[in-house]
Amino acid sequence: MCAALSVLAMLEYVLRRIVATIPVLLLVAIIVFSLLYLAPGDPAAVLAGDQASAEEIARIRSSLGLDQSFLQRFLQWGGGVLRGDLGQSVFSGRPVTSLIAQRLEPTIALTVLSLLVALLIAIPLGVLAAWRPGSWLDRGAMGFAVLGFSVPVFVLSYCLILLLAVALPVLPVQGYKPLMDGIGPFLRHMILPAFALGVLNAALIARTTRAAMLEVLRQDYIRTAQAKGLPVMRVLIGHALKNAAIPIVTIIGISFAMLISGVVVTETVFNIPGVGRLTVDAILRRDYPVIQGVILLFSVAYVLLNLLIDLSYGLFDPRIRL
Amino acid sequence: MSGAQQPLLVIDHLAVEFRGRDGTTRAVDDVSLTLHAGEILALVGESGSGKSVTSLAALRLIPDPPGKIVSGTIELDGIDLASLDDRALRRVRGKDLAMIFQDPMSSLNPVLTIGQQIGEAIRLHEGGSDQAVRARIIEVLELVRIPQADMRIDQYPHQLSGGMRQRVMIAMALSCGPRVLIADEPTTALDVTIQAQILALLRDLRERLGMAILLITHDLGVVAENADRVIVLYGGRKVEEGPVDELIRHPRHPYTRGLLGSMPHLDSALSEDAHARLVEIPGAVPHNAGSLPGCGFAARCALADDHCRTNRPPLTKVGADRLSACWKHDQLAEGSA
Repeated sequence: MCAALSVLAMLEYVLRRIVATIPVLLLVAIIVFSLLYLAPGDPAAVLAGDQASAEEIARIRSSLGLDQSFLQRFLQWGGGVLRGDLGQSVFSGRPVTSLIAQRLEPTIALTVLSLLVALLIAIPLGVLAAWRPGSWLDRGAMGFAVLGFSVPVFVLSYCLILLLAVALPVLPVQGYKPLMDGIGPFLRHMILPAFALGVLNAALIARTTRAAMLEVLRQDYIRTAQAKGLPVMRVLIGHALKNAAIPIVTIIGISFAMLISGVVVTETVFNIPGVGRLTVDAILRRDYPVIQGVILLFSVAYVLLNLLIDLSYGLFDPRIRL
Repeated sequence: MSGAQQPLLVIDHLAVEFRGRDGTTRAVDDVSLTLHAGEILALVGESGSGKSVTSLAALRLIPDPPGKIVSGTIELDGIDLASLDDRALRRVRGKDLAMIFQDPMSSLNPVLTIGQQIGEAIRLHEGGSDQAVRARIIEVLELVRIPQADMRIDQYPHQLSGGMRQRVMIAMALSCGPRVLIADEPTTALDVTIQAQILALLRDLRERLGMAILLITHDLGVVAENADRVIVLYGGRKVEEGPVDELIRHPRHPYTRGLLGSMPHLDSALSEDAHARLVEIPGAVPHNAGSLPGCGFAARCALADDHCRTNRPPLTKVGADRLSACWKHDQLAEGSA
């Protein structure tokens, strides 16, 4: 009975949290829409080309609905979004949803792999740095963190390309092979971009891991674990890391925003046909529906990811009753 | 006591230092003690007297840096713990030499169930199947009289009361059948009724399991009721040692006398007698008590003279099994006789 009650309470909490994201998403939609409305430049003029007459531009403008009022256009667009219709690309005339769907796989692959790289670097580094604060290991790890955070993604990308694709041609310079073509080629093309993007994130996560672990390692229960005769690694991983998990997963959620801007840069440098490239191309062409769709997608993904992370707190700390 | 027997735990001339920004502080200076099987030895002193540091040193759990055992030996059953490598030392920790910490609220890991926390020690030192380990966990939980042990085993520390958590700590310490139990202020964080229950439990376990207990406390009331022998520490040095009844009835060091004087008595508290007022020890433990040329207690001592301030009193035999580090121990003997 007690268990059934807590499951119900949990469901209620999850539902409440999901409902609470609705105003956030609405606000995001309004901002996304108005940003482009307020931005200078006329997509009709861009589409019409250099030699177009004023009448021609006006015709294109009214065919795109650009001559309607802000509210009218927003309601129209918003209604479409709710029905899963993000409109058509001004440039190619194709539905925005299918444009995004086509580009989704490389972006998801890049995001997930770079996060994996980041965690594989950051967690051990942060844990070991906190275990021996002030040691050469700690200094090295934190030096790496500062460096990783301050070197721009594109600089690191080109350095990696120079080193591992040009000087030592072991990996492809750029491009993308879908997972369907086999895991080998897919990974070979993904290593450099995932690493270039992962290092940035690793820097942030390593610093947070170290800080959280330092706090936890001062606690009395760590001494209890040592007094039991547990080996160092069991103390660090089994006792300390689980207590430090909440700040770490929180920073992963926050860093997702950084990851998105990184994805745009990385996809451009490595010529990966993902959503990031779609964004850049759409901005250059003032393809408003596509830009709106992409930004909305990123925002929804960010909000949902952080919702999931909030909900995961209960897994790490039994004292958090959802 | 079992004086003829080989002592279980021998700490000999232990000195522990902590490096800080303003130089090195000697937290424990030349402390020796012996603990026999089945004996309860109390280590008494106020905050900063070095009692906790001594106990942590016994498990070699002094955080280094900044702490360091600079001299002395710690022998468990004739084996010098300093000679053990990390792996061998870990086999001793939690197995032969277990420890209960002061604050059961903060000494249990909040994100692991009590079963997991007790079980990992058993798995580490004794092994066994999952069912065997679980049965053993329930057994030790019942040993420390936790009701509904088969339900409690899957609970987290925050679901237990303070007294219950301290029982869990004790169960954890007992889980691998230690021969020496170090209890560092095991009841300080608990209220008085629970305090009495926990101490009764420790005494009972000592009888049944034949463990030796090193009881660290600042509470002479706890000492009087539970210990066989007492060592009084002041400023990191041993100032007095003796069997509990004698030491409490006839303290041979002014510091011990001060501690006894600052203890409330039910009978005297009720009387209107002006002399029944609690006597405090003036001042606080000086930071550098250990490095003063004379007696570390001189600045707070009513009996102190110039000789006390310039010459450090050696530990002197002042009776059967009794030691005192006071130049005026004779005077004290006459005074209290």
